[in-house]
Amino acid sequence: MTSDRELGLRRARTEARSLLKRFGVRSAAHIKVEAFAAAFGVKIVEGKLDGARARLKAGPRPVIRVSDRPVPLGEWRFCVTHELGHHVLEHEAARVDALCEGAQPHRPPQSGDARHLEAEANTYAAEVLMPSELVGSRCAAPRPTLGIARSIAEEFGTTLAASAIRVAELSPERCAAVYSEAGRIVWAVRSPTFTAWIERGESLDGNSVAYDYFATGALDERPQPIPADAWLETDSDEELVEHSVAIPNTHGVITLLWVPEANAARLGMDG
Amino acid sequence: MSEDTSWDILDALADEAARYEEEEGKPTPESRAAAQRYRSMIDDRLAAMRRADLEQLEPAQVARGWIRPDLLEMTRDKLVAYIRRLQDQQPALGFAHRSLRNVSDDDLRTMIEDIESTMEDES
Repeated sequence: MTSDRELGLRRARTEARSLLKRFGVRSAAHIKVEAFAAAFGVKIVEGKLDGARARLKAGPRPVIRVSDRPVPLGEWRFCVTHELGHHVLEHEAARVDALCEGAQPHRPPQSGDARHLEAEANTYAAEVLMPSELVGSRCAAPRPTLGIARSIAEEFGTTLAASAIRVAELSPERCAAVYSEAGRIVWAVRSPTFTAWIERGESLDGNSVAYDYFATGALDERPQPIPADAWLETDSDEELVEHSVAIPNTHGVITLLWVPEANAARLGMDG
Repeated sequence: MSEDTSWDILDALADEAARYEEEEGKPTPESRAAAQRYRSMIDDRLAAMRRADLEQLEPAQVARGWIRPDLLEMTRDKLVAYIRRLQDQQPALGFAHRSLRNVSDDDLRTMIEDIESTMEDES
């Protein structure tokens, strides 16, 4: 039976595709975030915002406020489209009195099958900004690397991290996008066929390429084979391919891991 | 008849023609290719019309949001009381945040700005 979480994500994708059709999007140049928001009657305000990157005032005459702190354009576009997603998907917003009382107002990531409204807004933003119809074929490349993510980022005006997630989401290959800061894994997104678990919060293994950045301030930004146990819980001496790139403005590292078909069985990913 | 409706009818006609061909016709590779070309042409034309429609809306603008002086003078308690009054006037009012860490006094002030700016738009 399909879970509420999956149903919510499917609806987010459907609504995003509906927007793309409604506004005749056939190429990256047609993705005009500000115009989409205006067509939905949503005003965008850029100004002071201390405690968040962006905010949606829900209810009548919605307003998206985006922090005026300097951020890459790709992040700005993602923030606005994420909030537009909350509006289009009619997500229930936190009442202002709850926010004033200092209650934990945001919806933290939940495990399990319950709906995840933040994930739905992220899914909506990803599909609007990087439509599967337009990026799907390049994500299907037989050797996934961050080079694909970079080409998407450049063409579609998105961040490298968001584009790497898109590659992992749409690739038929066994791959995962991982983001690290201060030597620890912050998040990981796996392709449907990458069945091994990557634990958030774990310290990076000393044999990983990403580790080098936090240890020395530099890393070899080429795809390269490394022992699989640098990233996965395995007794196998098999290898996987790691492609890591530093993201200086966040002091982080984005990584794309790829398990080639020939190595999958010994890593328990042959199903 | 609105343009939206015209597009929907055109879209439906193309779908219907394709369905008829599939169910009743005796398709050949040539007729399939012709149907595909027709479908693509209609889709491209519709998409172009929809983009032109979007362009004709008011130009999208990103407004600058400042905090007005009287709000800057208010303490947190007064700001909270002010927001509660606005909430009473607009029960559907709510906020969603991306990567929320906390709500500062200035964030309360900009909430008031955002709420009241749209009330001004309505009046």
